[in-house]
Amino acid sequence: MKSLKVYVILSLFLHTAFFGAVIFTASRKPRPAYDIYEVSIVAAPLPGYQTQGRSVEPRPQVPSRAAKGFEQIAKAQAVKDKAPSFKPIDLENASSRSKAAEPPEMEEPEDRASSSGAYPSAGPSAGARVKVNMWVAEVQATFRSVWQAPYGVPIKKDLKASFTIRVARNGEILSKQLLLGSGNILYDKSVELALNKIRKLPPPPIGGEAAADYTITFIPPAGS
Amino acid sequence: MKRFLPLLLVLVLVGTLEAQNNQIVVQAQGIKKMRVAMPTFAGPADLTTPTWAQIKKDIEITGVFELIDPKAYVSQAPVGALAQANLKDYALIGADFLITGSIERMGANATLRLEAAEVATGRVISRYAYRQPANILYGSVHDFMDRYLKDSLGLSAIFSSRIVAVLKTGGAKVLYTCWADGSAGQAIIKGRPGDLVLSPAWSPDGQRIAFVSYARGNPDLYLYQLFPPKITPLSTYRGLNSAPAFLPRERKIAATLSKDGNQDIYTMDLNGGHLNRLTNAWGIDTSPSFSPDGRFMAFCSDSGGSPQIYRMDLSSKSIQRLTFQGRKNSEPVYSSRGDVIAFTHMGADGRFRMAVMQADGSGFKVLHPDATIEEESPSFSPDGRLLVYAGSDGNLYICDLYGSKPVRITSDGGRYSQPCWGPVVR
Repeated sequence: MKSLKVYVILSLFLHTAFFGAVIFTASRKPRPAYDIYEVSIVAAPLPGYQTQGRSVEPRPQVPSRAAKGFEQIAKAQAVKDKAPSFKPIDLENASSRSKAAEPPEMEEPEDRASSSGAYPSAGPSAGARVKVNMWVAEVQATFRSVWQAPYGVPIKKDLKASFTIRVARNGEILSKQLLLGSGNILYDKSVELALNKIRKLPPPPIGGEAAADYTITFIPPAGS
Repeated sequence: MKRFLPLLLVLVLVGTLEAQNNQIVVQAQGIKKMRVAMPTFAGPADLTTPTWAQIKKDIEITGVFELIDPKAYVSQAPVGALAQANLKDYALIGADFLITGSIERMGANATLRLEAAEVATGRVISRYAYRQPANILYGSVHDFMDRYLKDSLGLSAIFSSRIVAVLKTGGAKVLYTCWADGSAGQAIIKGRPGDLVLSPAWSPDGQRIAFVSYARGNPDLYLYQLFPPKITPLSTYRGLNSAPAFLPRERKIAATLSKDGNQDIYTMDLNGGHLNRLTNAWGIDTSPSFSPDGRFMAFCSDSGGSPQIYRMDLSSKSIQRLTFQGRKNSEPVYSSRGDVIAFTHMGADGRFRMAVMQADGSGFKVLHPDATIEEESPSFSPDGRLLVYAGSDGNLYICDLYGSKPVRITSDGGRYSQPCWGPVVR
């Protein structure tokens, strides 16, 4: 019975010591790496700003043999405990992916192609071909009006990004998806942003289907 | 008319075939930067004005965005939040993105709220708030801009990084650091009049700076450890110890030494041990820079008669000359992607200008052929998209690799040289 008491007390002691050590370790936050840059201010951070209490006098020190020749070295230590964190804080518990405001109504292209001009699947007539051709030209012009190749991308001949868009019979873009990326995220993003600006295309001159998928391939300007 | 019939037929057929396969090709008619609108921020003007100006400068530095002149906005009133903005007004002026902000003073602290949205859809892409001492809001701006770059275009961070340079002050040349947009600049080693510090180089982990100093009367190499602050001599051989550069994947450093009579490039451990000679040619070999994969070293050598850029395959030690243009080409630096080398080029007119080429020596291009000031000492941003360099007016500039107008990041010119862009620090 006595030995059981000893074991219980020993167990309590060990548990207390263990959890105490865990809490102590967890409470010691690692020092942010940028602390070290908070050294004595020579230049003001920004014009118009006050350096309230931030100016730090260098700590006197005996120059080491290694540092012989320098009057002093940087003093990160003096301000490290007050060094700021530039991580954002959750002030409003706001979702970073929510809608901010109603998007603007975009200008829609005129419906110049007639939906009644769709050609039968067996094969287009000459008139239908012309309508399709006109529609393709209109779609190209619509996208060209909102997209230019982004600045800052090394332009290569084989640079292209393909998106699949689903177009309803009335021309409304129902969905869009990256089919084949260019390998350059900036290029692909520029196309995605441009696609977001177009909600409706001229109604495609096709018949029989409620909606159709199209692959739009975006290539850099000629001569680049 | 008959002459055009075949052409018309071909065009009709091509269009029909395209549509039948549901394939449409759209060719861009030009190249443009993403357009950003940013109305003035809501809050006390002594805080909002410099913060707005800093973000404007950072937008210019990115190289991919351009700020639409606020005079073009429908309303000039401050806009503190996206919810208060009429996105249609900004769509009308061709904005791709809208940034709004507000600052609220709380004693010595301030709360900065910044939001960015895609104008076409109204989708919020960045929404962050910071509570900081009011005098150091620049740090929050750096963090926001890095997140905005990532959120909007998927680009890597650049603003949470530091640039080290040589600052001429009080008759001495000392080490100086500032953030990537030039904010919070400060000397980190204060020298006595006559002291001379040169060629600072960041370590890949951002924890050390190697530099040359004449503190003991000889150009010696030192290593400045940032935390805890400590300076140790690295190479103090008789003669020249210069042009330090860290190896990307090893805890080693390369430098030019003349201890054996000729100026050649050596590598050594961070304590100066294990000296290994890399070049052994007639002439001066200097300014080493390593490809990110550690396979190649670009360097400058005058062994061919004039300073030109060479590349050494570090496994085979074979050397290839990369530049043949102009009078001189020097100070090569590899981009962090390893695909491009930037360097200082002296053309036939005898003026120094920034130039770039592919890592194999092809695609030589002078970035600003019409620049009025001379340019030297390039260093790449952490993501390899931008360059910082020193202008002959004594200021530091940042430019992209496509020749757009450089952005000056220092304002008190005549004092800065030899910049080196460090890694992103989180």
